[in-house]
Formats: sequence, C-alpha cells, structure tokens
Amino acid sequence: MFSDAQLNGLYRYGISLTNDETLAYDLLQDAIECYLKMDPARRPVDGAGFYLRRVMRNRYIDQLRKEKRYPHESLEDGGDSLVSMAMPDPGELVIDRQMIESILARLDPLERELLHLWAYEEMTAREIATQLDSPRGTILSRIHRLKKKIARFDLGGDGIREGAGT
Amino acid sequence: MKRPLKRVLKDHLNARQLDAGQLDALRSLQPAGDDRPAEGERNRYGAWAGAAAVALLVAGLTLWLARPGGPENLIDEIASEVVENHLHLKPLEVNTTRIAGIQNYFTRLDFMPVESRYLADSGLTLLGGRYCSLQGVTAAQLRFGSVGEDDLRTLYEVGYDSRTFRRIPDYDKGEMPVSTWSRGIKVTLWVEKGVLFALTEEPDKQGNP
Repeated sequence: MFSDAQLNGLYRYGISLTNDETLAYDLLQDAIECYLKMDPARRPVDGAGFYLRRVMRNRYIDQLRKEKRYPHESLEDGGDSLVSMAMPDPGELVIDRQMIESILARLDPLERELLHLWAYEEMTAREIATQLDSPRGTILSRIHRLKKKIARFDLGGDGIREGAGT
Repeated sequence: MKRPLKRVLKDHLNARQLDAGQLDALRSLQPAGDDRPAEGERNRYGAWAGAAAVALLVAGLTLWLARPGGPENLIDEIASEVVENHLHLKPLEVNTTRIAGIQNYFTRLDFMPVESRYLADSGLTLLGGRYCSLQGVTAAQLRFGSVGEDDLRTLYEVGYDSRTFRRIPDYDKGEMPVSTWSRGIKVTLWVEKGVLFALTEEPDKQGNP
C-alpha cells in the first residue's frame, strides 16, 4: 500500500516536526494505524500523505499541549504588516552545514514543520496553506519571520549564537 | 563552508531513513497482499512525473509516427535503446529477488511491473531494478542473473499501447516472441498481460528461455 519512499518521506516529516527520530517513528506508526482503521470508502481522496501528515501533526500537538510545551507565540501573530506577498526563496539563505542540527534545535516544532514543507518538500505557499489549514497570507508571514529568525543566527566559530538582529 | 539552506536541509534529512526492521513493522500493519500504492496518493512529484511521462509519450509518438518508414523500424529502435542501457549496467536502485519488492518500489509508473510466464522456466533470478525510459516512456529496467553462471540479463517492462506497438507479438494470444540483434546482443520482445517486455541475451551465454 505505502511504498518505502512514501514511508521514508513521512518519517522525515516526523523528524522535522519532533526533532526526534524515535518520536517520529511512533507518530508515523500511529498515523498509519489510524488511516487503516478508516472505512476505505471514507479515506481522503486528496492523498494519503496529506492525511497522514495531518494525523501526525495533530497527535504531536496534543502531546505538546499535555506537556504544556505547545508553542503559542511567534506563529500566528501578525507582526509583519509589510511582508512581501512573494514566496521567499529558501535558496537565498546560506548556512554552515555543520550547524543545521543546532538551527533545528533552536526552532520550535511548528517552525521546523514550516521549514520542512517550504524548503525540503518545496511546497508552494498555497499548498502549505492547504496542508496546515491556514490562510495563504499567514503562511507567507510565517515564512518571512522564519527566514528572518534563521538569518539572525550568526554562525561562526565552534558554536551558534544569535546576532544583533536585523 | 556555507551552502544554501535548502541543500543543507535536504542532505540532512535524506541521510535519515527507516531501518529494515522499522520498514518491516510498518509493512506488517498494512493488509497482506496489497502492494499497491495507497489509494488516492498523488504527491506533487508523482503528479509531475506522470504529467512528464504523458508529455514524453505524446511527443515520442508524434515524432515516431511522423518519421519515414513508420512502425517498421520500431523493433530495431527498441532493441538499440535496450542494448545501449544494458551495456551501461547502471547501479540498481532497488535490490530484491521478489516481484512484490519491485512492485513496491516502482510507484511512479503508469503500469504495474509483473512476472512473465514466458520466463517462468528460464532459471533466471531477479536481482533488482531501476527506473529508465524506453522510446521516451518511463519504464522499469529489471536485472536478472542465472544461478552459478556469470550471466546478467536486462529485462525492460513498459506499459503496452496496442495503437503504438501493434507489431509486437502477444504471448497471451499464443504468438511467439520476436528476436532481433543489436551490437552483438540478442533482444527478444513480446507483450504479456498488457506489458511490453524486452530481454537482452549475450551470445556466449544464451540459455533457453
């Protein structure tokens, strides 16, 4: 039913969401069980991948809420009223490849998820908006803030530190 | 050394994959015997690959039908392309001895790779496969070996279109496969279960398929 490539793709989405390979696997397993329990006639027509990502996301958010670790701030606020409505290009950002793990550790789960959909899966803002059930403008705002946040990380020497800001 | 974020993130994530035990556990959750991709699964890349395959097919057919000589040279053209790929022996993308493993891997084709009755008693052992194209159409390139012999053969499978490939014998209708030669290698072609097969056979290693 699911190819190895599909399973690995969903696993990587889980890693981005949780920053933890064990948690990612558990979420994927739960999501597949949930999908298979559905009446085949009621399974989503827009794609199993879309549905499974949603289940993984919702389950992880529930878990974070129980642990009171759900990231309330920084995602839905509209702080950037002059955000360009053009889709930012992840290729414009350059980072030290040794520092990717440090960067991911400093982002919250929903920021990592956004980074995954935007830079790894290269979805358009509209596709991300559909996946996350959020307005396209909000997605563009979030990407803009995410990009600024990553750009503020001043990568140098042996560690990572935030720069003075932009 | 600084590199684009997109590239670094892809490298970072692509290095992470489920191990064999995890894949087995996830496969065991799924209904037995159902090796097909999940219903309705059409990721963006799959959709683009499908569209590209259709475009290539249309373009290929248009050019082929328009060229002098029509379909007469098709078998020789296919044989030439098959031999070209066979001689390169590019690395396999999937290693498996089971057709189910092949069917699980090749999810971007517009047909399902199948076993051939014609090869049932050939003694050939499936080794794996990789994506390729035949006449501009995305195809499965499978590699076979013979137990105890240094005999590698390449079998191509591509969805059969009777309007295009009408001169290829249909084994299901009792027609015998047709063989031709290209650059010293024998190529045998036939249709079975709606799939066009093309098998290479090096002259000093010919068995009796």
